[in-house]
Amino acid sequence: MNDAELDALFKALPEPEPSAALEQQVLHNYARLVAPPPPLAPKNRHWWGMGLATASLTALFYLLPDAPLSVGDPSQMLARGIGGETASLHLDAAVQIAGQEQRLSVGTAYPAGTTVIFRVSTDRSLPYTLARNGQIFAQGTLSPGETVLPTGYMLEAGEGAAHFVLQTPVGSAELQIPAVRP
Amino acid sequence: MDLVQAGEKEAFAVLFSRYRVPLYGYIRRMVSRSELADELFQDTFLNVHRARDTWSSAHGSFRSWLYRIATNAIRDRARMQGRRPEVLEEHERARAEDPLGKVALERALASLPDNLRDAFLLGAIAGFDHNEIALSLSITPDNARARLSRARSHLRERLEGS
Repeated sequence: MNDAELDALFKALPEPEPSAALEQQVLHNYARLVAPPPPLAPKNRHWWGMGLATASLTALFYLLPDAPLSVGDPSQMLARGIGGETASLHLDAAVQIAGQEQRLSVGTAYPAGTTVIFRVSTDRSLPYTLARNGQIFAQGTLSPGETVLPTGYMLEAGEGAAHFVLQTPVGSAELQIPAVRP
Repeated sequence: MDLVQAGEKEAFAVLFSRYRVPLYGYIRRMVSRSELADELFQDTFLNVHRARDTWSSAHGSFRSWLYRIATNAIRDRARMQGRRPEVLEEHERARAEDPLGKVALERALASLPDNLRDAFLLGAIAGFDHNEIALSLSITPDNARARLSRARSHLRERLEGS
């Protein structure tokens, strides 16, 4: 049986179809997603809100005590927030051989059929691209913490050394895998 | 797709009606359990809208982008839920009602590892070329060609051995 005959056998199978209810549900949820948000309030409410806020602030000014506020010991103050911090980004990989996950050993040539799994640690949400030998084959968004990327890479017979680069707006991380074992 | 990016409901409806059957078939054969397939089918189309600003014709065809969204959703779910033993159980139940050998074909398809089945469904049934398969599965075109070839060999062995 050649490729075309084999494909034709499977193409002739009845195609599973979504139910009418499911289709309605998708279109309904899409319509909800694109619907503009309802107006918040008539425009003149804006002035009422401003007046109320001003009156509240004035009342607070007269009611608060005159004593200076205690700010504590300045030497004990800690900086908070992410401003000025350097983003952390770490790329690690594991290999899956015959369903068994193992730590990737740099310098080891793995057999064809091995799947490389990418694990990334970062401290913030970042968009990323993953490229093999300069060719992008996955992209998405990283979440803070450790993320196993949804796309693995299966090594094929005869494949040469692979250089993987994870690129994000705050930096990149790299990984080198030797040629596939014959 | 440009109109979908601009939020045109009619444009979304056109894309939906064009891809609803082939995309559902792909998802259903990847996960088999119908409730899960329904959920992933809906997620895929709503994610098209949510991710519409990231699509560009420079990155390939719309359908390869659509199938990549679906494939990522399937992989994420598989990772969360572990493997899918229900596939073969469902086909076991249907076997008795199969006078024409269709269930044997579905069983052969279900016996493929996920990373060969998705390539075969796209290449042999949806009619994608190697580049489109590669884009849909986030792999290289060489990898796509190899997977399709291995899937066909596996299916041949399975059918000739049954």
